[in-house]
Parts: sequence; structure tokens; C-alpha cells
Amino acid sequence: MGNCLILKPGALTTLQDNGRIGYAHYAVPRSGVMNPYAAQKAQQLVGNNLDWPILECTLKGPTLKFESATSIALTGGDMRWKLNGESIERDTTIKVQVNDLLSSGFTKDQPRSYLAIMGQIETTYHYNSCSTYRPAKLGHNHGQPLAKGDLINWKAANTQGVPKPQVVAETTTNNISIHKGPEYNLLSEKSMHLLISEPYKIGPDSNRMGARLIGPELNSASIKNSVPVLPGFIQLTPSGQPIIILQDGQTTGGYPRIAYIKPKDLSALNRIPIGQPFRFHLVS
Amino acid sequence: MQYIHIDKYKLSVNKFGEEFVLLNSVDQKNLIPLSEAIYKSKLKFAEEVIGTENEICLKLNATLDNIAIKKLESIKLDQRKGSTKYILPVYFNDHEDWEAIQNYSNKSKATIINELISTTLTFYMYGFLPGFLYITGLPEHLQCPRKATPSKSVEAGTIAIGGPYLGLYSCNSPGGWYSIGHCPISVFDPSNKPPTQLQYGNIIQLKSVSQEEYHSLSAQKLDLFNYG
Repeated sequence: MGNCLILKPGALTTLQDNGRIGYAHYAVPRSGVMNPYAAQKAQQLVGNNLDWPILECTLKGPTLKFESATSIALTGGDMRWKLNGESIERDTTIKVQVNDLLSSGFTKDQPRSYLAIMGQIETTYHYNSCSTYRPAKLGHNHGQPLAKGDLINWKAANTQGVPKPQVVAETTTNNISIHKGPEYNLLSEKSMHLLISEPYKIGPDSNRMGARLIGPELNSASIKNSVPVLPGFIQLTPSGQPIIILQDGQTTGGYPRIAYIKPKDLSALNRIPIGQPFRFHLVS
Repeated sequence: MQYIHIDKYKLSVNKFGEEFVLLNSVDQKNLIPLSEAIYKSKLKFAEEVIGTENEICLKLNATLDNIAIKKLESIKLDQRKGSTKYILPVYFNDHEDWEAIQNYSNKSKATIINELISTTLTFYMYGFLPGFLYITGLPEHLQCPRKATPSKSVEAGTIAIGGPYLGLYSCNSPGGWYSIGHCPISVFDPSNKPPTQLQYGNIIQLKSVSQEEYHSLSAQKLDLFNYG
């Protein structure tokens, strides 16, 4: 048993897990951690099950006070984490004591950072997941991000005998693999070339639903009816700029699906800092 | 291109690596009832089943091999006819979008409301947002094309018209359809599994309620299945 108090929530700190599987038929998005590799690494460092709730911090991290002693781990973006004012390292297990203050600031690199706390955080589940999905009030505190004054409670859980799964190493890349999507052929030859030869950036108006890209303008094209979409699908909007469907994205869309990113490569995209150029690499 | 047969459907199978597969009807049949039947058969190799009018997407978590194809081809549509009917109370408010709908249909608001409550509508599909309902059966003159610029925020419970559909917003969201009223009962309760019991083909009958009745029904926190 233990708890900690949120003193400052940061820009957007939510509870996430591996998301809701099997409900896209009802237009319920999968949700879940945007960077599974970093989240799993943090959980592993504190000995948690990989599908337990974890704090996902976006752009600016939170400040919290521990009211119980425990172990924590921080992974993902460098949010200048400090324990009682002293800088602390990421990617390692850190012991915290009663009244310890964990603080952070704006990220230096990746947009998201993960804070795992040893134990199983107590929260609200909808469709087998606590992942926060605000529009439909699903998951933690009925879809609410963490707010000032929130208390996070956890129970000590017996993880003995649970085999430690292998975590695949995170690779940083500015080269994102894409595959031809169902409507790839609606691209002009020139646009097909632009898509993979010129750099793109993730725009500042991106969120957990979608990454709005800024880059070379592609030819505009349209489809008649709404079609199914999954996280990782790259849609071509009428403006000629692509949008990538992300974890909280819709399950149907009205734009051509020119390409897709495989789920295992999507976290590489989610690690790219906003505004940093990257390139697409077409895998046939 | 590979073709398979499920019930009365002939479908093309378009595989995208090991990730997902798209099924399209060769003869333009409506795929919604099939998508529902596939979803309900809980296939182990398909993690998600998303259906739209013209396409079904299966997100794969195993190879779509011959055994999987055989499983798909053994699915039968639910033949039970005589669909359940649900009453959907609507407070037809004075939303500014009424002007556009009156202009489009060339009919008065009162006439349109009368048409809507005397038309037998049908639940079609989920899509767009969790629990968002697509309902069909609108008279053609009410099938107002979507707004050129979507509204920034549409309130949960809003009933709106977009193309051939009447829609019910289950959550607050931006939206490109024309708002005509508000529904005081819930159709999406996340504490239930599955999210709603509505099935393709269920009959939806709109019932006009006053502003007073709307508030009284809202306070009772009813849902589609314990109302009416």
C-alpha cells in the first residue's frame, strides 16, 4: 500500500496501460501508452507487470510528493527529473522515501516520459483498460488527466513467479518505415516521390488522436465513403498534408489512406520531438 | 486478388502484410450486417473488426492462413427477422442549424419534425466516436450534405443530420453534421459490456418531447433500454 500526491500535474499527465483491445467495432479507440518500449522498460525496472497502470507525462512533467516509501523508474523523454531538488537519472530504479518531492520540467527531447511506481495503481477500468480517453470518459477517473490535489494510491502486489518478459531495445531514428496503404495509388507520381524524399515535421497541433504533419504538399485526393482506420494509418487531408492516426484516433475516417506505419514502428514516430525533421522510408 | 464467400457475400481479400486485411463486396452489397456477424463470431486471428458500408477491416494478430479463411467462410448472418424497436426521445430545440435544413429541404421546422417522428428509422452502425450511432431511413429531402467547415464543438446527446444519416453524438466532439435536437437518454454506458445492445436493423422511432420533459428525463438518467 502507498500513495503520492500530485502537486502540479504538468502539461498533460495521464494514466495509461496497453489499451482496450477488441472494441473498435463500437468505435472505441485502442488508446494506451504512446511509447510501449519506454513504458515497459520503466515497469520492468520496478518489477511491475507490464500491463499495470503507468503515468504518461506529456511535454512538461508533473511535481509530486510521495507519502509512502517505494521504488520508481523514469524512462522516455528527458523532463529534467529531480528528487528533492537533485537531478536524478532515467532508466534506472530509484528508491524514494516518505515526503520525497519528485519534480520535472519541459522535455529536452522526446514528447513523452514515463513514471512507473512499484505496485499496482488503483484506478477506474473500462473495457479491461485504465487508459485515459477523455472524449468518452473512459479509464482513470472517467477519462480525466491527473490534476493538482489528486492522490495516486497503489497496492503492493506479489509479482514473484511472474516471468520477466524481454523488453526490446528502443532505437532512436529519424527514418520512419511506412508501407503502401489501400489508397496509395491516389497519390500522383510526384507526390509519391515527395512523400519519401522530403523531410516532414510533427505539427504543434498534434495530440494523442493524431499527428498533423508539416512538409511537402501532396496532391489533393478524395474518397467517397468513410473507411476503417487503425493507429498508424497515414491519411491524406484535402490540404495535401498528411495526418497519422495515433493511439486515441478514430476508427473510421473520410480521407485516403495513402500509407501505414506498423504498430511496432509507431512508437518510433511517437518519440520524435515536435518540430524535428524526419523522413519516411517506403518498405515494399 | 483473392476472393472468398461468406453467407450471401462474395468478397475480395486485400492483405496488408501481417497487419490487417480489407474485405470488399464484389457486388456492392451493404457490409454492415456482415461486419457485425464477423465481430460477434470472436475470431482469434482478428484483434479488431471495423465495418463501414463498403469495407471491413480485420486487424490481424496471426497469419490469415487457409484455416483462418475457412473460419471466415463458415460465418452465417443472423437470420432472425422482426427487429426490436427502440424509442428515442428528442427535444427538437432551436439550434441555428435548423435554418440550413429548412433551406435545404424547403420545408418548415414543424413539417420536418412531423416527418421525422412518423418515419421508421433503422440503426445502421457505430463509427466516428465511441457509441456514436448512425441511423438510416431519412427522407431524401432531409439528407443534407455535411457542413463545409465542421463545428468546433457538438454536445453529447445531440441529434444531427449528415448526408443519408441521422446521428446521435455520444460524447462531446467537433462535428460536421447539422444539429436538430437533443436526446435526454444515454445510448452508451461504458460500465456495460458490450457498450450498447443495439444491433444492425433495430428499429428506431423518434418521439418529440418538450423542453420540460427533456429536463425531467435527463434527471432520471435513463438509457435506451429502460426508456419507453
